[in-house]
Amino acid sequence: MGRWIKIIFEEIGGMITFLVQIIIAIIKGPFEFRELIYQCYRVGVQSLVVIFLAGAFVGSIIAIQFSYPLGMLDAMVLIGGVTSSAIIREVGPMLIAAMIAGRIGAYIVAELGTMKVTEQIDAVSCLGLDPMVCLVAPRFIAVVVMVFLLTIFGVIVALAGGIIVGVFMLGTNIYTYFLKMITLIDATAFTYALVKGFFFGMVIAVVSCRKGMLAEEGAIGVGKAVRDSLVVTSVALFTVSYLISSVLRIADHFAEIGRMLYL
Amino acid sequence: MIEFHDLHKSFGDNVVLRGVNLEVKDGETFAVLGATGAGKSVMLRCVVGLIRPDYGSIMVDGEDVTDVPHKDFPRIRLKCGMVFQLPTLFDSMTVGENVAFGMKRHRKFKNNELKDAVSENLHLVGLDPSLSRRMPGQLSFGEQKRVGLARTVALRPKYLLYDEPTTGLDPITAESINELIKELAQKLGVTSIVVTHDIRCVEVVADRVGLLHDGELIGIQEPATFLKDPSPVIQDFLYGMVT
Amino acid sequence: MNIWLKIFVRISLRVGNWVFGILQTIGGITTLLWETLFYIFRPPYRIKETFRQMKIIGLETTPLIIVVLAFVGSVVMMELRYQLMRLIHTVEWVPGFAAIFMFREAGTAVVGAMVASRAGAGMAAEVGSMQITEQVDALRLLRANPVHYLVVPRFIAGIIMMEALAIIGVATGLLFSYLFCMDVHNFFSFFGMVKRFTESWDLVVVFKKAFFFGMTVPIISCYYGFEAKGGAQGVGMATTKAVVYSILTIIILDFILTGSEKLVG
Repeated sequence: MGRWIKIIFEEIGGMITFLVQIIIAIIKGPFEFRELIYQCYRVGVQSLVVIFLAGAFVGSIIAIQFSYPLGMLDAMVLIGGVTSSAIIREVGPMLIAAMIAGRIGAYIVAELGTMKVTEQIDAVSCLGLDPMVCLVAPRFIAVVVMVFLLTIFGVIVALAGGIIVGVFMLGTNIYTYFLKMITLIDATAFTYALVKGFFFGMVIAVVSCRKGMLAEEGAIGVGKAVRDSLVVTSVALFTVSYLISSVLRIADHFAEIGRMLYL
Repeated sequence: MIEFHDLHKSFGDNVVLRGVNLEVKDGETFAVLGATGAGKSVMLRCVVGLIRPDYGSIMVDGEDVTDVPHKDFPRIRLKCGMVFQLPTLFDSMTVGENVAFGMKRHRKFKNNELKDAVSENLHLVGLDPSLSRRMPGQLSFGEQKRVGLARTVALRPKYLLYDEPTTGLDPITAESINELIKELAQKLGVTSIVVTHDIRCVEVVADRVGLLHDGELIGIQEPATFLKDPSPVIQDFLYGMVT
Repeated sequence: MNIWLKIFVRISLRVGNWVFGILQTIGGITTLLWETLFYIFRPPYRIKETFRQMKIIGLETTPLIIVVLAFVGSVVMMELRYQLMRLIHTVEWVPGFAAIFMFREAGTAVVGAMVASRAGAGMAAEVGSMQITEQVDALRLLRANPVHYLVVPRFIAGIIMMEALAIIGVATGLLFSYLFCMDVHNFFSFFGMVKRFTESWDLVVVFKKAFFFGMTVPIISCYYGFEAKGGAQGVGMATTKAVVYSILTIIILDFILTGSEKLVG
């Protein structure tokens, strides 16, 4: 048990150190603009289809699952609001992160990891360049930016999925759905999604880049790095999601009180 | 000039360098012979800071590179170009992009200048510039080694450090690499340290040679006299090589 | 008129190509599935290898499942409390809904995604490495069928372990849901609620979903492993694709299974 705690602390410490190193590298420059754009394409555009499909289906599943309890409570009318609220606040960002962490995270770990074990990172150093500046920084920024944007995209798609299921499968009136959607969602819900999107991007970026750069010998080492990064990313994402939810929920209470006082 | 003073390095119980002393004069090509795993590569890696020695020093142009903070290494590595044993090309980029990688980040290039510079460097290592659009995976091993060399040479370093340049090549290709090393030394006026276990390579390129045996560099002399050196250690090595 | 035709043809070709690629992949995966099923019943039965794979999957994924489902359990509880409080102003029934969610989604789909991430990536990496180092070809030359030798053990191990991990996942999820409503419920009232809202069918659903998800991960991971090309980078790409498409397929399967249930009632 003690060993687990030690491992967790080392991991967190390592990630924070690495994050600081990346930030220093970004500030130090020179800024690799072309490389950044290329990485953004790789990371973002190629994930669009996957996010689209995943979002649509998960949105639908959420709607269906909520239909059971709401049916029992005879509150089907609320399905629009409840589904959408859940999607925006929790499921949307989480899902996107899981899909992207799988795709992008693993790809970056594998790429940087392979470069490390085939000594390409050393080669960059020996050309008098800093690998953190040339290779890591562009990828890091690309991931943060694109995950944020893709989260927004995914949430929209998931909402659409919920709408389609609500209307066609469950027979809700589309107007009712939207009405309840608007009344039950407040600005704080969007805060959830955006804040989570940003931090999820940071987590995925730091973990993947770090695991890649620290990969050990051979193809086996790369495989291990990929697996480790997926684990660490998953755990970290859920942790961060939980923390953000908790913090923002407290803010929700204040908003609720504020609204009651105002009215 | 590169001077190695009393260089020591061990990996756990394995003592690899046990007081290596060497002075490489400007413009000369020095060959380090030794059995596989004897620690020849370690010597080179200490020069560019990929490995830190346990103690001892390496003076490059009067500066002790073993005692230098991490941030100064890019500057030193521009001066001492490392040519790896495995080409370690960036396999997700074309040959041309590989050669240009270091170059374009250290100098400002205008439009076609970069392309011309890449062609020039490919030409220098005996490759057809039209290869610049190919991917590394499409090249033969020998061609990849040349591209790796071109990538390093493109930075016009003062010193070239070759780690086993002919290992893994057939005798004919190896011979052409040997000729290339000699040519580059003349054309670019670089000082070279060649780490190898290939005697033929030594014969062709080296001005002087030494044998890394048991952590120390012995028998430092010209190749011609080295081959006839009666010392039993050297004879064992040469004899072993011939068989 | 001519220009529009050209553009139309261009786009159609692009889309057609893309669709064709997808059909090819689906075809390839389906073929692999059939082959695997075929070879399961043929000797030699690599029982030892199957157990080894089970051990790998179990050891690697269990800690992850526990941690993730712990968070999912707590988050679900928090979210349900929030939603139900707003709607019906009581949190009495929350354990019931939480349990339904655990059984139907968390214990299966989320666990499936975790297995895909860890074990699936590992399978793709292993098979992919073997593919690019030509070991798979070597197998064929030695008259051992790669599907029989590599995929079947992972397939069986996948199904068995997915069931086991589903149980662990559901248990962990319920435990942490309980921990986060301890202020309102004690142990008995919690399970009382759970029992009120669930039926034995829900348990069957867990096993049914786990069964299908357990098949998905090995098949898709090994498929992309076999398709790996071009050195260590190819292995990396294979791993990524395996994880993402496994998770995606799990989501789609989940939807089909969930939706079909809803329609059937």
